[in-house]
Amino acid sequence: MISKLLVANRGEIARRIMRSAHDAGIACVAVCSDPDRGAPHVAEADEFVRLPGAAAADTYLRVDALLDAATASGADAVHPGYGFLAEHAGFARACAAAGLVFVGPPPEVIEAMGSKLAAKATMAAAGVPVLPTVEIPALAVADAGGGGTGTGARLDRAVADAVGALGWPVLVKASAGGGGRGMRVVEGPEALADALTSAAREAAASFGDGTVFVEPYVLRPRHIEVQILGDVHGTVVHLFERECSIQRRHQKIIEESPSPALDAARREALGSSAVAAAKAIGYVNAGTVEFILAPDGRFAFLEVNTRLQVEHPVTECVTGLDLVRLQLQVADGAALGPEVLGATVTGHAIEARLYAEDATRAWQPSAGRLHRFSVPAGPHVRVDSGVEDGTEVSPHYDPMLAKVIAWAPTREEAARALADALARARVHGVTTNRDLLVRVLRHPEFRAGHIDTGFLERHDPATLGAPLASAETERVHAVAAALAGQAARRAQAPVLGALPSGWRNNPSVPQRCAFTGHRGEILVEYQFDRAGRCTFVAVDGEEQRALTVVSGTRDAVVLETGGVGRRYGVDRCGPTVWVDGPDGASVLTELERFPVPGALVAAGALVAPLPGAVVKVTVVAGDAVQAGDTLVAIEAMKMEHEVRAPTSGIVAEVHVAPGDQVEAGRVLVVVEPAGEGP
Amino acid sequence: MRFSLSPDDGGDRAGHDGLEQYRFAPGARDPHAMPVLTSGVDTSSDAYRSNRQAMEASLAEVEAQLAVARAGGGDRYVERHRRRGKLLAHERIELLLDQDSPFLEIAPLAAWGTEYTVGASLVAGIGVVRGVECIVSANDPTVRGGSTNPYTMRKSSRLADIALENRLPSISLVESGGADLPTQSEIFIPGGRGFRDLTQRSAAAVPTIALVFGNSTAGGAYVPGMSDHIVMIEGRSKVFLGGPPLVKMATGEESDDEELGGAHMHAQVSGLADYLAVDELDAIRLGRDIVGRLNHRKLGPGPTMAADDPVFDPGELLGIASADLRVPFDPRDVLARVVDGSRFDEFKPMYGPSLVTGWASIHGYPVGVLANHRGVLFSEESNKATQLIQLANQTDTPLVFLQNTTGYMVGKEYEQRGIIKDGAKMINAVSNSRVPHLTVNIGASYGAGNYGMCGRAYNPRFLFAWPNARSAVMGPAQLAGVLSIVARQGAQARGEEFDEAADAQMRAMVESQIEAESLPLFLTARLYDDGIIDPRDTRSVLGLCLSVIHTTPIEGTRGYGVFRM
Repeated sequence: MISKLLVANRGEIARRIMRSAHDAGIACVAVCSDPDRGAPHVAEADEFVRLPGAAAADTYLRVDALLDAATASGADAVHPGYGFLAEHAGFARACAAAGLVFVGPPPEVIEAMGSKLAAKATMAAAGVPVLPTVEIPALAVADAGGGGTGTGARLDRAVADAVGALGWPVLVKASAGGGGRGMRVVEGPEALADALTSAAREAAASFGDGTVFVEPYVLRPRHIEVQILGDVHGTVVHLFERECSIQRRHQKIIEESPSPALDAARREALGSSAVAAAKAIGYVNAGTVEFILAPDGRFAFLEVNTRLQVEHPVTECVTGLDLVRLQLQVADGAALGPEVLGATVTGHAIEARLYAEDATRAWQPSAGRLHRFSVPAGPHVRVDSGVEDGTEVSPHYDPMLAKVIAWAPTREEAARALADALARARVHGVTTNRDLLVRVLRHPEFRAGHIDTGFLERHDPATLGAPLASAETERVHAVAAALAGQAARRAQAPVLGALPSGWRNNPSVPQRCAFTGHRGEILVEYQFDRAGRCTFVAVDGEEQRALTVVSGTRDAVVLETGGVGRRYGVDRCGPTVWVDGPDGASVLTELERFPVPGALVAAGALVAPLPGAVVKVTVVAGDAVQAGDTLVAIEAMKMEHEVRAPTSGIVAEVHVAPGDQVEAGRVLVVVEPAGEGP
Repeated sequence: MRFSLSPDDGGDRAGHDGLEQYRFAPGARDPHAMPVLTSGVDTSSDAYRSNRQAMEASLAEVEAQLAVARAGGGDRYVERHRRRGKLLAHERIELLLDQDSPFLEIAPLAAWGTEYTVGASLVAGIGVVRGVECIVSANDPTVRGGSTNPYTMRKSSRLADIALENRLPSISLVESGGADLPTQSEIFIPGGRGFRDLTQRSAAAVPTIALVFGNSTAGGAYVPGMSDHIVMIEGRSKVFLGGPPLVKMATGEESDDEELGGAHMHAQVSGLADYLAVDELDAIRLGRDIVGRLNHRKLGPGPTMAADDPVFDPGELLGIASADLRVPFDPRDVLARVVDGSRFDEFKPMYGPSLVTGWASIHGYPVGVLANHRGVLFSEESNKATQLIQLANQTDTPLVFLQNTTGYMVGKEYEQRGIIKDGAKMINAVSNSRVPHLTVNIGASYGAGNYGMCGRAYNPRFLFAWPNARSAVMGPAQLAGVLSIVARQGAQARGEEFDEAADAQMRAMVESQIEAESLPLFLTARLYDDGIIDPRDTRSVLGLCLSVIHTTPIEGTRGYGVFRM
């Protein structure tokens, strides 16, 4: 029996595992990298072991350090979570060698499934439908150019013919791959050689194995996977399917169970294929068999994930099972019980992955301090998060902040509930894909179940990810931000705080504050009367007669527009103000009331420190300079004063020559800092 | 601080909800320990309505004059000023002040009814800069180049007094052509006081700051010259004793503005400028930073009582003061709309009932209150007032006077019972009292009653008037009547026949002259008060002034002049 579990992971999955382990009476040991020392998963563990360093390779990917952690803490089992070492056969094997229970399948199974090519062959043999495959021998492609562009790549004729026989387009994949790396869609024979070369190179760089293969590219495919669970006594069951067709860059972002694309017969066919696949490899513990579903209803095996999936909660929500608890029971040697053998699907569950990334800017990850994180959970809304107020979102790891899962009797209701929970979430400090998720969940195509993995290619992420708040709403939000700011200032006023806000016996100019929003600058003006009521509001110089200020504090402002009252949550950190309302959220930056003029002087302009004569000029316009280089020397009062480059860059202007007399403050040279300009 | 508005809330009272309206200073005394006033003002009565109508008419008249003052030199000059890329006086002040903080403009209607522009080409008042209460004044360059006329001088002197008495740092936003030369005879000799005041304040460690926005020349050069801290603006500030023409006349030297007094020259060569700003906004920023570094501390105690709003609606103050000064009104109805929680602990309520005295608090600051009820001050009222003033001095409690008095009682009986002695005691008490006094004329302020109730000559820290108030040696009708009786007696003594028609004409003339001269606009124009206030602002004005006076230690006198018994 497991008594102490080392959770070899971080973030939400570490917390998730510990929750079930604690429920089962198992003590938990967390591991943490240096940036994660204050992370919630550490706080919730009974004990923790530090993994010095920050990069994953130095910490969560270090088999030896994790085994040491288990030894030091006296753990008798290891749960790898997902990602990191979850599908690392060597880690599973090392655990076993150290006498630790590895909560997952045996190393041989992991190994067998690690190669996609090998897995496909095994599955085909077991009668599981697979796509036809052309394996590309390493020597089938010669990089004639050698210059890296690959334009001169030549292809073995037999390979080219075999690929051509698959029909176009085709998909090139890395055998050891995952996460879309080493993957290429090839439209016709002329592009094949280059695609194979670059895929192989990428695969070799990413996975240390440059083996690639080609299979037919299924148009508008849906990604359907089946949860499987096997015990050490040879029983393997499936726990129904999940559909994960909404993906960005081959990363799932919305997953659901059951799939709206399956009828009972097909569900049964998929389920039994998955069980057959699992049995074919002697599967033990929780895993997932992934399939591709073509629009014509045919499906084919993709791969087996030998671990708990990110999206496992949707299965838990519709079956009522605790998959982590079951994993621990299986690891303890228990046989699957009747609740598993007789599991059924009730209702519908959808999960959305909340990422710290900018959907409108090519999914660029966003790091920084999470000033506030709250998602309204409810009886049927589950939030699995790895963060909380104040968490530092580190650039070292996956930018997923949380998973939000909604369950409801029907798909429609689940989508509505999930969109609502996300829309009401307050996530301040990093850019997230929240607004994109809400728009997808409310999209008529999604609502109708017409989804496939190309959804975010057909629908522009920049449009879907734009703020839910309209330009007009953003102006209203700026009013809320301004009024909350004034309430805060009044509350903090060291003197005369009890007088009405902005009180005047001879009122003249209204109070002003300006913000930068998503769409540019917004100027808000307001005036309070002697009784403390806000009686005048103008935005960008236009009085807002349809807007009434109902009440306000530093963190909540109630405004009525067009006869409809709305309550806005306002949160501030430095000049940044977050406004959340029923009409969307805005991030505003309050402009400095008094910009410091120094900041306005052209950056890089070097001025004479004192009056004197120029004795040396070492540069001409266009020269590259390093920070600290002497550019000009000035002689004054028998001393030579050197003017040095404040930053590295290019000399843009030179205004003086040796012999010139200069007064203090005169611009001598302008250096354009490196990395700026066109 | 909460603010709120329900759309159908017709009243003027701050619509606070919940418990947040009760602000307790640390260690605040239990607010329930003091009795709460009851105040049954019938807002549907004819008297209330006609009072309110009259008050609203007076307020409209005041507001119209405030609008004139705000307009400064008029559209043409305002536009010219803006074209030069300059901010107006009010705008400069608004930028200088902490956002959302209050600003009490002092004497905004100075010079009303004179040959000079309303406001006296100076915008000034008390505001908060970097959390510090300051005297802020800005020349209005749209009015004759911001030059100083005799009323500007009086207003400046009053501001200097306020700054010194209350230890308020002063910030002058300077842009003035100096003295209005045609009126030099009225300005030159007394005006020297301005420079003396600046340096004496500095000697008393009350900081003085000058932000020079434009010309500050000749005598005007000493305003920055005598200040502790000086900010000048590149290309804008010009500070010199004599401009190029004067220098040419005096010495024959050729020179230009920049050489004689440019900001850059003063920052680099003469050293007169401590800080060189790139523009107006930058000068204001530097000015704020200077205040932030003053390490200024308030030496008086902070609020010690609960500072909750009055129970009764301050909006009703508009209909409480009688439109007809002969009709007395109960000052408790006023107090119920001014003091914290409408709580008032009345002192000697049954003795001398024509004067209401007692204890209350405003914005958490404890005060003693003297408020006329039925106009006349008898011996009992005088004695009661004397005692309260002495008690306030024993406990270091500031005093608030609400004036509505026609003076001390006259007549045989009262003379024989010693009204002079009793009135003298009260004036003695007021004169030698050392706790700060705040006076509001809410009705009449006639005769020696004005003195006993701490009129301007008795140096209250601040004095304001409601728009309905009047002040003179006596009422216009009484004064005309007295003149008439004296004339009639003279005629009689000379055995001449008394000209009734001429007498009636004289009486009408005198009456209208005295009426005009007792009006608040007339008085405020001459700096006989610090401004006319909307009655609904009384609590805010007094609260602000109380905070300001607590910048100095509050210490009553322990010894008094000989009381004539």
